[in-house]
Amino acid sequence: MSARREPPCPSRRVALKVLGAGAATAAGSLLAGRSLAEPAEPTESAGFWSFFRTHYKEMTRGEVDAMLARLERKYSRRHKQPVKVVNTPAPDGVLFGFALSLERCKGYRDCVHACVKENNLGRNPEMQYIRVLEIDRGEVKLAGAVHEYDHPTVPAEGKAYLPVQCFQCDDPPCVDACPIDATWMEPDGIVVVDYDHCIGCRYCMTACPYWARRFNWTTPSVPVGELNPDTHYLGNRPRPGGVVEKCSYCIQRTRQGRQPACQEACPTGARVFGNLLDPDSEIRYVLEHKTVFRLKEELSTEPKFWYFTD
Amino acid sequence: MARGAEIVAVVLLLGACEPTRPAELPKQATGDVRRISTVASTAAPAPPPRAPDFTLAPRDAGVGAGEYHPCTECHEAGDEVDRRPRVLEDDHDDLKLVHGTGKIWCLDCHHPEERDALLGARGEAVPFAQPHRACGRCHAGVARDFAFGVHGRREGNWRGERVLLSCLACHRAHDPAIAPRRPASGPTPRADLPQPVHHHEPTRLHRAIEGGER
Repeated sequence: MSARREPPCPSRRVALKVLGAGAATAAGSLLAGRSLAEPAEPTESAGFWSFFRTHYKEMTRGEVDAMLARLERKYSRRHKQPVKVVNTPAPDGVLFGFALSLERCKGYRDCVHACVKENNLGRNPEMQYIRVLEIDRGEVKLAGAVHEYDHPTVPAEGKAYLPVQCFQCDDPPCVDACPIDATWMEPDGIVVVDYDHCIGCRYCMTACPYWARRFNWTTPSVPVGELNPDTHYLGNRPRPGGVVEKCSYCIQRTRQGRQPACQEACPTGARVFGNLLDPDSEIRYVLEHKTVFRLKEELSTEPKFWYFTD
Repeated sequence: MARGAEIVAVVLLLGACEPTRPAELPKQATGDVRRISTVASTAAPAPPPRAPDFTLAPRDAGVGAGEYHPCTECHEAGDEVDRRPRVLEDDHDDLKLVHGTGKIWCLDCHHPEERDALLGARGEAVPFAQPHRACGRCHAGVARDFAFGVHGRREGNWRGERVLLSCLACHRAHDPAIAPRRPASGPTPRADLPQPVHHHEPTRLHRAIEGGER
């Protein structure tokens, strides 16, 4: 009896399994169908248009506009606030440059955090584009520089401060290293990254002699309500995970004539930003009247960022 | 013969003295930093005759905000003025003059007759709202840098109308040195792990190597 009843049992179990699996699949597809119908956030990031689009520089104006509108919808949904994505082109006759006074930088790090807020950098862990290096007064010796300093007050005795960020090299080795042209130099001298084109190989990071590029190990998290909604396609728009990003001299601000966030935040006025092609600009005054130097100048990457002393 | 040679020499000299045109910068943006840096290092350091125009940002923030002590609260315009430099002990106890470490006194910066005014470069009265003109009496180099936008901070834009922060947005007039303060938080590598040891603090190994300690 029992020997005869043995065989049907497994088959019934199989039949039940198949039925159960079918039901689960059906339920799953129902759920999936529902979440697809809802405006859930990942649908457009992996969408048809993002996947099959051409290179940013080869897109027609109509394609770019449609893409920006798509991104605006996506970011506004995800961050629960209206987000603007523009692609303001480089202004004519402008080459952006930065100068920083080593005498006036006191190491307060206000620029670092203004940059984090302005550029929608991930907060957990917090990514920072600017590193303020603490060096011994008297010589620029990067080997002994410390960027995790945490004194009760700064400037500390016998120390000087040297902030480092992307220098927007005029002969950028990071751009040469990119295998798919996802990063390039714009006509106004800003080296930009197309986050939707970047494959995250990080060759550019190894090519940069200044450690100016950062990699998103996770999708950058910005708390709801803290997103800066004025974004530029090549600048501070929300980034996906797994791509490389960097300082863009606040492209979303500077292309509209505004100062970069770090310059605006500097409590000692150590930062001078402007147009290198304008002989009356502040930056040209610095270059022509102050003692200036650039970091690792011997590498001939031609950074557009000078340090100066009076 | 000698005269002819002189004329030739003069002509040659004139030819040599023809003013050289300043290196013209290319209109297009890329690839010209090398030329700019060359210009910067070889150009004669002759400052432009005049700094571009600017206005001062309203003094509503910064260290000097809300600090306003008009002298006419007590002094009247027609009062007799004692111009002998001295330490003011009576009635000025709320004003501590650290500026100048005792080498200057009130009337080195304040106008003696027009009480709510400062002294300009030529002794003229300068309103309190234009402090850079008074500070420039002593700090001429800083005043020049300020006017050209290198000392201080330009507000808002990098081109167009220039709005600069006033001297008093960062410096107190009577105690101008900027006090040290705590820095904002630094980078957090390895957010969940103990923070890295600062390498500049000597370890036992360092002390052993440098001090011969065993």
